[in-house]
Amino acid sequence: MITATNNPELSPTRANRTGSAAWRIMRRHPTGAVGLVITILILLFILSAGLLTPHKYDRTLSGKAAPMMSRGFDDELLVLGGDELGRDILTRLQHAGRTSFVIGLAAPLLGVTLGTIIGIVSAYRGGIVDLLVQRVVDVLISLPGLVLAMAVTLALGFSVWGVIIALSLNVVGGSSRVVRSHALTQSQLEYVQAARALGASDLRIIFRHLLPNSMAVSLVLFTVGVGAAITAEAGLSFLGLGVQPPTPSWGNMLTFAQQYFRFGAHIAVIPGLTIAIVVFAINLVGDSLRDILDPHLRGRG
Amino acid sequence: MRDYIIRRVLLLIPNLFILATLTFFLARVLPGDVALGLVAEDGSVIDQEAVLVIRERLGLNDPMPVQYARWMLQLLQGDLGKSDVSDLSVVHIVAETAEVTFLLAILSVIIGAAMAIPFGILSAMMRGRWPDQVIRTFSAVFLALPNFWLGILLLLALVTWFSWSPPIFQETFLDAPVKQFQRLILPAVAIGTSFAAVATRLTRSTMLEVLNQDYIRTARAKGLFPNRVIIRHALPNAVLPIITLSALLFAGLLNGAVVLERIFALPGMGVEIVTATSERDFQLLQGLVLVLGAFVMVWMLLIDLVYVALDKRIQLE
Repeated sequence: MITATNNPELSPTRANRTGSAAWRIMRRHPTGAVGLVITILILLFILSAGLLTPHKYDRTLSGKAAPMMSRGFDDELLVLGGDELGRDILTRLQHAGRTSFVIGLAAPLLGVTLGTIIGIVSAYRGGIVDLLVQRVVDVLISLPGLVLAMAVTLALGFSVWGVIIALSLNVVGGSSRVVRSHALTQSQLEYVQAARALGASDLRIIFRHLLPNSMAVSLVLFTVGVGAAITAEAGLSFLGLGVQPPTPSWGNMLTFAQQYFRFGAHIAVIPGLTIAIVVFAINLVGDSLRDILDPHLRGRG
Repeated sequence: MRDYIIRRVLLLIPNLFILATLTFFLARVLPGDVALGLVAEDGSVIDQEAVLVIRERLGLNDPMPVQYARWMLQLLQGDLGKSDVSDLSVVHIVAETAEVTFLLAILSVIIGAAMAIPFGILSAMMRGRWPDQVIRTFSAVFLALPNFWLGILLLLALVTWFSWSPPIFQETFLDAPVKQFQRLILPAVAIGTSFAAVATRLTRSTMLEVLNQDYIRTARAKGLFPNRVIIRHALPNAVLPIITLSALLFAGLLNGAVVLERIFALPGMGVEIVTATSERDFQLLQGLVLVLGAFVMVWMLLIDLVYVALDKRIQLE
């Protein structure tokens, strides 16, 4: 007699299988798993803005650069102290994280998407298109990204979107180069020739065959780009050319750090450390992702 | 080989043309122009007449294509024009500021490579053991630290604990090399550490690849001393990718230089670009960005050629 059993090993449901696959990957890449956990914790920290502390991010609560665990004017507890205007650093860190994360995710998403399409089209079309596109890419790669970003944010205004577009330009050049070289080898393979022999259109070959096959490369480029974009945003804001106050970002929290450092080191240390931890965690995830998705690079780095 | 070199050098021409075009439009997308700023300096009420006069004098009233053509013609004559604000020649300003920026970048590469190559090799040789773990952890950590933040901390630590601040002076490197070195060493350490973080990982991975090759096994089997195998056989082949990386990262190094110049109050191109951008000094901005971009382009080309010359495995069509 056959009885239904709840033993997962005997009747693997789909959810179970993907669950255990995820677990197996985590076991094999412990550093990546740690990175993922830290990233999720920080996301929760950012999303709980307004819940974790009772303070407003733009309200002066204490004297200049109140030390950590000190009390404000109305006896409020400032866990991480106050900044150069006496605003609660912990609250600001959470709100600033929203800006930094949105930029950190959107800029590489936009840049890598554009770069992927440009890279594939350039590789597939070849000839004069490839030659011309690659010249522009050459120029994009040889310009220091911050210089490009400065002009673009000034032109578009210091909005979050302006910064996103400016920083995405930095990613387009490099990522299109990488995707192009990947797509070049792909387009020589039999399956592309077979598709062409079957009469598939260029668009179909690009979107149904080449694009899905370069997804792994693009995904890795995206993850690497997130850390870079968060750092770049910080650099841009530090120069005063990023997201403008009163909207806080991790970068513009550091803008006045240098002048007010003497009143309390935590103004400079805390936002910088936050950026470092986030970028560190995301890099760990990116490294593991690269190992999993790109077998050619396995064992590197 | 010769054809390849000629092809690459010829490609510089369209690249420079696109770069010049891009810098022109990069400046023109900025909102406003220099005239308002120049007039507003004198008083709070903006004299519209004066604004028009300045615009006319600088040719800002001409249609965009005319301005573009003028910029291109000027470039063909090897002239970068005059700064709209200070009336100094752009070439002069570039020459004054380029020294600091390029010295800073070069010093950073040297510091970075001096850390990355020995650590990368050690890490590869000790693969899986504790020195490898320690080195990999450190490189992962330093990869995540924004280099300008490292710069701020370095500067502030020295200022608060030792009351030392970087010297401020006008002399050039040739006049006062020691002073210039003192001024550049801290920002160079900050940029160099970030560079070392990437380069260590790369050295390690190429070293591992090289150490697995047959000729290394042969050299070992012949009974050569392990150190000799590393230094004479493995290292030369592992250094090439590091050279390439340093070329690719050069634009990135200049990124770091832009911010660190600001922190350390260095009179470099980065600070000058920020000023030119905020003053809408189009001529100066175009000139600076063009020189910076062109330098990186030529640098990358040279590195590529060196690479081809050194690595016999590369086959050129």
